Parts: sequence; C-alpha cells; structure tokens
Amino acid sequence: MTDWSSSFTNSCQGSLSKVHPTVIVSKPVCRQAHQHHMWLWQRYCGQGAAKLTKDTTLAMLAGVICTFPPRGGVGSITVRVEDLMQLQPDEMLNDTCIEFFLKHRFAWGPLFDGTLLEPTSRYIESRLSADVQQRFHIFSPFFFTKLLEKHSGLAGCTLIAEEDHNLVKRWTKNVDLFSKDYIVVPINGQQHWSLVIICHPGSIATWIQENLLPAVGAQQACGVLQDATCVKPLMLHLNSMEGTHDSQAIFAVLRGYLALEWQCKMTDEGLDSVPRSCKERLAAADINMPDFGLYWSEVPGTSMAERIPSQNNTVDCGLFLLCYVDFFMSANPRCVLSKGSSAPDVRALDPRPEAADASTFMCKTWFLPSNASLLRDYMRVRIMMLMSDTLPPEDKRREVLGFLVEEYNKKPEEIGQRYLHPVEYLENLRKAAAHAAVLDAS
Amino acid sequence: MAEQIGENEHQKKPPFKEEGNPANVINLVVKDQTGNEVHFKVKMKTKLDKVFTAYCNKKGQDPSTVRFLYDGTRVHGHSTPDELGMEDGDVLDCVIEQLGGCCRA
Repeated sequence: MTDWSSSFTNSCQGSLSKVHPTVIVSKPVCRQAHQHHMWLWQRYCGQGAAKLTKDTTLAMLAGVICTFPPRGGVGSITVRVEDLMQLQPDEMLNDTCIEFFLKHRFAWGPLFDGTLLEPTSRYIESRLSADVQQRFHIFSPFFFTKLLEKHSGLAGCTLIAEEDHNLVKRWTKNVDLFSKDYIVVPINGQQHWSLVIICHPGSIATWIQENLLPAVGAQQACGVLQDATCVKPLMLHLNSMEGTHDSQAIFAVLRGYLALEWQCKMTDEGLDSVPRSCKERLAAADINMPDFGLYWSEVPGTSMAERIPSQNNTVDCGLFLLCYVDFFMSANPRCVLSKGSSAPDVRALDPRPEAADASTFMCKTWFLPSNASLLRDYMRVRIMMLMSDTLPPEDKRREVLGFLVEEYNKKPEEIGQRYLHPVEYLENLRKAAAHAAVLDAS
Repeated sequence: MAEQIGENEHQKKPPFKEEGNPANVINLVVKDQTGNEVHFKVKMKTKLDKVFTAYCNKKGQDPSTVRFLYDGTRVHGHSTPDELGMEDGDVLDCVIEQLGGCCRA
C-alpha cells in the first residue's frame, strides 16, 4: 500500500468505522490498494463528496498543486491542496481562492491580454469579451490591506497619506484607473470579505471641467452618455453581512487613495491618462489648477448591504464577494447612477439582458444565497480538474480527483443544485417561469 | 545585511567587480507588512524559490501562509528576476494569507 493511501486509511478509519463498524474489520488487509481505496471512496462518498472531512481529503491529496492558467508564467496563480481545503464546507475562503476565481472567470491579471487563452478552453466556460474586460480594473485581494499597512486596521486610519499611496503606487504603473468604468476592490479585514465597486472614476474630469469651464455644455462634456448627463463617480460597498466592515471608513480611505492616484497620474509623463488630459485642458484654458483633492473628498459612497443578497451563515462572505463580482461584471451595466445617498437611490442603466434582469439587478432577488454557497463546489471542482491534469495517469490521486469531479457532475444543472453563472442562472429562472405559466394555463 | 543567493553562494568572489556590474546580479529587498526589510543578492537566472525559502527560514515563517508580490502581482517560486524584468533595488512585498468568513466587528 502506498504511503498516501495508508495515511488516508489511518486518518479516516475512525469516522468510517462509525458508519460501517463491521466492514472495516472483515475486509482482508491484503486487498489491492486500488480496489481498497475505490471501495473506501464509494462507501464514504456515497453521501456526496461534501461529507469528506478536511483531514481525510488533505491526507489523500497531499502535495498536489495546479497552476492557472496551466501554462504558468507571470500573473498565473498556483493553488495548493491546502487552498483547495479552504473550499470545503464550513471553511473560510483565503486570498488564493478569491484570486483563482477572478482569474478563472475574468482572465484577470498581467498574463491575460486576451490572446493567451482559447475562449473555448475547457477551463473557462464563459469569458467576457475583451472590450467588456477593458471597462473593469480588478485589484488584488491584498491591495486594500497594503494601503492600510501603516495604520492599525481600518479603525485606526484617519487619512491616507502619500506614504500609504507609495506602497501601492507601482501596482498601477501601467494602468490609468480613471479610464476604467468600474474598479473592483476586494476588502479583507477582521476575517471578513466584502467588495467595493468604484463606478466611473474618470467622470470626475467632466465634473471639474463643468465647474471651471462654463463654456463646455453638459451635453458635450458627457459625450456618449447623452441621457445620463449626471454621471459622476460613485462608490458602492457590497457587503454580505451588514455591520462588519465600516462602509464610510472604507470610502474615506478610497477617496484618499483616488485623490493621490489622480495627482500621481497627472504628473506621469509616460502614460496618457485622464488626469493628464484634464490638466492639459485646464492649462489650455488658462485656468489655475484647482484642489483636486476637494473634488475627490465629495465623491459619494453608498452601502448596498440592505438591498442585495446576504449570507445566512458565518463562512460564505468570500463566495458572496465573488458572486457579486460575477453578477455585476457579466451584466456590464452602461452606467450606475444615484439620485441620493441611500441604497434604493442607486440605479444601473442597461444591464446586459442575457445576464441580468433590470428589475432584480443589485436587489435582494439578484441571486439566491444558495447560488453563492454552491460556488464553493464549483470552484473546488474546477481546481480539482486542473490538479488532475498535472498528475500522470497512474497516480492514484488522479483517480481520487476524477471520482470527486464525477460526483459533482452528476448534479443537475439547476438553481439550488450547482452554481450557475449569471447567464445560466437567468435562463434557468426564465425556463422555470415559462414552465409555471404552462402549468397555470392547463 | 544582504544575503547572497544563487549558484555562486559559496564562492568568495564578490558579485560586483570594479569594472562594472556584469548585470547578472541584482539586489532584491523583501519587505514584510511591518515594514521590515531583508536584502538579498540574487542572480538574474536564479529561481526566486531560493529567496523565498531563505526568507522564510530567517523569519521563521511557514511558507504556505505567505505570498510574495511584485508590483501587486503574485510571484511564483519557479520564476526568475530575469523573467519578471526585475531591476537592482526592486522590492518584493511579503504578505500573510488572508482569510474571511464573517466576524462581527
């Protein structure tokens, strides 16, 4: 018997013998390792892979790792079996799980220039097109933590200073954040994950110019967004458990960051950016540079917690974060506006109809909490497929992984059975509604 | 104090010659979240795994709970400074694993 299988037997014997106390004793020890282990798995997994304990699985899969995308390189992510274990039921997600999903779904990061991965690759089901991806900037799960490094957490932070900005200055050296429509910022602190989406940061230029250059009509300044003449920067805090992360404190930090980033890009001669062109336009009109920080300090922020789906346990916040990102990015709204400062005032214009229902977008019925919870299994299976591909065919661990993937694939593709991404989710809902209508009619 | 990592670890020859750095050895700084720095001298073709292991040993860190970031992007142990286009004096951020489920403040 190989090492891994004997350690597996030892580690799970206790729990197995509780299920079938006599079977363990009566089976001859000389049984072939392969058969023995398949038997264990069938016995043990009969009730579903989710019943496997962390220790058992860890022992069976010790040492397996995978890289996504499989070809590796700068910006790829390595997932170890320990990270996989963070996706077991009742475990908290770690930063690797968060990054894996973001890269997997959105091909995010320096490696992903849109050409390296085949859209039909078996690892990626539904990728957003390059022009949609262009509208977003996704920050690393470490960005916000790094920004607050010199402060003792969010509570201890009153002002973001230049020395804080310096810590993350190089993270955006090749990116003009202000040319993006949405900036996605994962927030981690006090063992909790939440999400901030900064909408239309670059529209502050329009706002500034409107104020200082009265000759520029609102129509002209707003360009393409004719019917949305009042597009302004807006921050949304999507928190799956209200009362954990302090929305206002987070907004204050991000306002400070954006003001410094604006200042930094304005003087960066190496990159064409919104701040630079704004500065040049003001200079051309012979207008003294205003205090841009003042404008940024007025950017509104809204806590969305009361109107979006929320977690009903103490472990799923990371999954909700990812679900919010998935459902928001796939919907790709043309713009997000707010009439006031509370959550019901927020309105998204033209979400993509195949990925979002405008009446439920960013509402309680956006998606079922169970859909977010099921993302756990979805991610686990994707990682296991990748891991399995790194192992030689004769490796027993490959069999174990294959078995678990198969178990998952038996689940019907329905809401509440497995994670459905926004397009599938909506299709499923519409089908169910049509079915109900037919039943009603008959 | 700078530690030298690379194949010439045990050679006495100094990495920088008077007539100019052959540009195959650079100084890298690993900075943790409290701002502490550890300096390494690394060959351009050396896998960064060596730096990470040396750093973790020195700091008594469990390698599975730390990540190394270069300009905000995760760095793999199997990549080299050459592949990442690193320059002399570049900083690698060492950050600790982040977990989250829910915890009321």
